[in-house]
Amino acid sequence: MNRHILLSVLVLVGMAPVLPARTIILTETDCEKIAMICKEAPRHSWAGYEASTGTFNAVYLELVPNRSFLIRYPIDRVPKGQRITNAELIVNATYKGAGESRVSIRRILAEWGPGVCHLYRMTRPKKVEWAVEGAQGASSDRAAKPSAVVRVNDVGDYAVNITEDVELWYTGAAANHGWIMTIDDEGGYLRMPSPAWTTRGNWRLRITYEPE
Amino acid sequence: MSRRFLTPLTLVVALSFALRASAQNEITIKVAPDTVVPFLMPITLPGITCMAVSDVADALVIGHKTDKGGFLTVYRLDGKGSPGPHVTVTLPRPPALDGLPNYPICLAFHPKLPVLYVWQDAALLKPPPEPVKHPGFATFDHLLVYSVAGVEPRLLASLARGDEFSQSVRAGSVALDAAAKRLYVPNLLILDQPDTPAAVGCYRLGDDGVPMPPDPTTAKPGEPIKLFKRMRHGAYDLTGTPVGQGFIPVSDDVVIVGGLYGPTTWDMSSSRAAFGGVTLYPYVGAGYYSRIIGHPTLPVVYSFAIGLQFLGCIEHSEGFLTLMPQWSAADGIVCRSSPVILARHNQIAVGGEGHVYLFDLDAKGKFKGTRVQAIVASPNVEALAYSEKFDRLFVPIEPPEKKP
Repeated sequence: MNRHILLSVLVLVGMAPVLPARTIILTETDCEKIAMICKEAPRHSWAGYEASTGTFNAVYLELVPNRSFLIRYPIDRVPKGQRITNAELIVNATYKGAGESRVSIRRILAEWGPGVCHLYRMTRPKKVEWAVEGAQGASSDRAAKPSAVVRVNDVGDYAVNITEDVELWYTGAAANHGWIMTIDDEGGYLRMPSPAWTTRGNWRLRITYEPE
Repeated sequence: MSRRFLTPLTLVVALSFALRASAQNEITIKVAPDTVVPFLMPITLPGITCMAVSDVADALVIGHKTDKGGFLTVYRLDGKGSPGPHVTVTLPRPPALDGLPNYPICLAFHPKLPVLYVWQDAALLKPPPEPVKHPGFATFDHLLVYSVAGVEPRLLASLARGDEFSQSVRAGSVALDAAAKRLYVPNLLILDQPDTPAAVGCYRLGDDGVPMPPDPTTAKPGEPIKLFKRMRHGAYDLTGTPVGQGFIPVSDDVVIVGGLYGPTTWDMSSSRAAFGGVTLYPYVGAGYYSRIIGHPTLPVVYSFAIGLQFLGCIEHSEGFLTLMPQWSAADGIVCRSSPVILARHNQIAVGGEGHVYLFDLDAKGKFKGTRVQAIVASPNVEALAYSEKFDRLFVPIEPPEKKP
């Protein structure tokens, strides 16, 4: 083997034990499953906002009551034999309504996929309804208790600690079906960048892990 | 820095890029060496704007525009799919439009009958076309239906005239549903709304493939054939002409329409949420440039942009766009034509500048990130047509200008 390549491999292998922790950042480009579901557009997967009456689009994500954002990050890039020491979901508020908006983040408990919408959690290979429309079923569609509640008072990034959820998924104690974000308070409003359009990297999950 | 330290550093950098490159939704399609595509068949004719091939009629039809008006060249294909004898057909234009050349925008064949649909418009060609309000449009038919069963194409129907159709538009498409009961048409206007937004609609087709009245029992003899379905109010995603840059009819109620912002679902059964679009970054508002096409067997929509290098695709479920789109940037290309799908090869082809590009698809219909490309002797390849039966990709070649 070439002497330099051998040296390179030795350096990389040698570095591993001295690195106490490693952080990876997953973004929307790593995700296959993302959706914005809405009571008013019961069959659409990308009801990000109502651009004109009856026309829903994915250019923005406007979180309001009766509209929910779903996202699942695959965490299989975390190698086996690690311990999750920290996990943060970055929520970016690009525009907000008057006053504070409280955004609840809950684990989704049921498998969802193609055709996900207000009525169905998937339509392929066959149609499967949510336990309660809009993925509102507590302890069936989604966790009863929020993993985090973000109080949005201004535009900008909010780093939300969701270490416990990622640990659950990583250890296999719970299946990773991602999160659902909702605003439950009347009048709440938050605009977020759409993963389907605009620049990349607005949706970030930062996971720090170290060898067990 | 010593080479001894550079090598490990290079590996670390390479590793970090490899980790980033694992993102599946955003890929770069690298330049491929020019090669010979054995099923590519050049067609050398001037002023080609559109093409269509029928595996039912064994016919290849080419639309042309000239400064005197539009015409079609209709080829018969032989047993190997090679063009044989041809005839030309001048597209009809009313005398009232004298001085305003007409031109074919798009062509489509009936999937079961030797019937051809032509959408045409008219505008000044030089200087670049500008929208004009010309009284002659009152008698100008945008939709022409021909039988290509015989040697000479025969005009079966001529319709779609009047104020509810946009004028002097240079792009659009027509498409039939799988049952061949509806023909979707582009570039309509909604006249009773203040800003007359754009719209699309469809005609009902009879068993002979000819448009028929929406309700034959109430139709009056001699009355112009009306649209069967049409948008009654404007939709943000379909604002402005051209609209209908591709149709993917999925069911009687749902069709995916190519609009200003990319693919948009039109759910005719919904009064509350009739439209839903996903704008495939970065070509927002690229009305004249956006083109969509659906995979013939997989629930995937592809979006291309004329003049750009970006290709996108997204799944749909019963016509509703779903899950994350995939974005691709194809190094060194400029799209110049609407795409065509080559199901037999699991590829999607698009014309470019002096090239035809064939992008490989995976089993789910997503871009694999690889491509094949072939040089063609034409500065811009603005139309393509593919025969699944003969496995021929027809490519227009602009003949060299004759020296005076």
